[in-house]
Amino acid sequence: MSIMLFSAIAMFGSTIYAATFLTYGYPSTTIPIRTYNYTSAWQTPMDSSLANWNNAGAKVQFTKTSNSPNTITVGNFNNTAYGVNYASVSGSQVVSFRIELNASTITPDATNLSNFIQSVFVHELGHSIWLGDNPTTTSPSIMSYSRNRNSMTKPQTFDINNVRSKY
Amino acid sequence: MNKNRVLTLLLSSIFILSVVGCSSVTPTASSSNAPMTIIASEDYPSYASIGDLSERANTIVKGSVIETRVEAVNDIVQVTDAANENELTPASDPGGEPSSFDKIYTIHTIQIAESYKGGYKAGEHIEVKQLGGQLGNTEIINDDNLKLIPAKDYVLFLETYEDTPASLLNSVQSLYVIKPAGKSNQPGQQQSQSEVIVSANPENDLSLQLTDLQEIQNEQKNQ
Repeated sequence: MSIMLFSAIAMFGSTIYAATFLTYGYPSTTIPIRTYNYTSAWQTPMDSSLANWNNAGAKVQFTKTSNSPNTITVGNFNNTAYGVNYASVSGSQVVSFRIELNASTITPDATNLSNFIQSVFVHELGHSIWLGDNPTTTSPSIMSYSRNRNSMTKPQTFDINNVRSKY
Repeated sequence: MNKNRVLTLLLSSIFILSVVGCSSVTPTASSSNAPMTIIASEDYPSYASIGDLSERANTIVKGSVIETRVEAVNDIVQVTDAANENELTPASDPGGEPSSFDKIYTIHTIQIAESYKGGYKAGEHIEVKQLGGQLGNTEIINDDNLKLIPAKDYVLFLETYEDTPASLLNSVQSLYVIKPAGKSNQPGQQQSQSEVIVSANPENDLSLQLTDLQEIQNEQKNQ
């Protein structure tokens, strides 16, 4: 147990600052996502989020299939994040990922729920295609923590160009 | 192999199967002994001022880490009470059946030296969780997390929960280090005769001052 504790402490010793790119991304431009089913208040903007990436000209296509290992879960979670992307990684490749959207944090902060959901989901999808959190840039970015989630629903030119550079 | 070790391996296995969706198409899932690395990236709220940050936090304390452990935690809110279910709105109840799974959290026990907001008192302990850690051969790496180490005093802006340890409001703006005066060379820091408050994250553009904490504490007392 002490070894595990040491490992955890050692790991947390490294704070990695905002970077435009992660060190990993999905290996192909077609990215399957397991079919999901939620109430229309969530389902519709979630579907729009996939379309927002698919129509952005970023070379990537998210497709819904019944047997994908890549999953989306919406629920109420006891943490302060709007969303989390858990990526299982091998080298520089995403093997599979799980995205969680947190209704407990999204709902109270959203003045436009549909836009807010899209902003968070598009952001989390961005992590699967190489994009890192909170990039240091003056350009608008869907990956920025300080973006207006009630209005920014689509990947921005900065994000699109970054994804295109990886595929 | 002791009991804790067996429990650890069992929880790790459950976590692995959950994340990879029990799929045989994932190479890492095909070998049960292979190390599993999962990288977590979170989308956090950003706050425009210390005032906004303190308003959102339901607990603000100063304290130090006295114990750290790594644990599997299922942080999903279980709505089993029919009354609660009826209170859910379409926005807060997304429907579906969220697949819950245990995540690896690093949990710090903080001994509170001073309380500025919330129900905790000096001398009490509060547990604070951070996503990430290693159990068995499964590791969650969360690059956004800030280092919390013993022997340092922190100011923490927290959200607390009934069933799980508290969480920092975000990874950038909600953790500050108290340092003895004269030991910090960062700009924008607040100095007093005895101590200095420095953000634990250099990316943080908010500056926390002792007067801010005093104001928060005074507001709490007046309520």
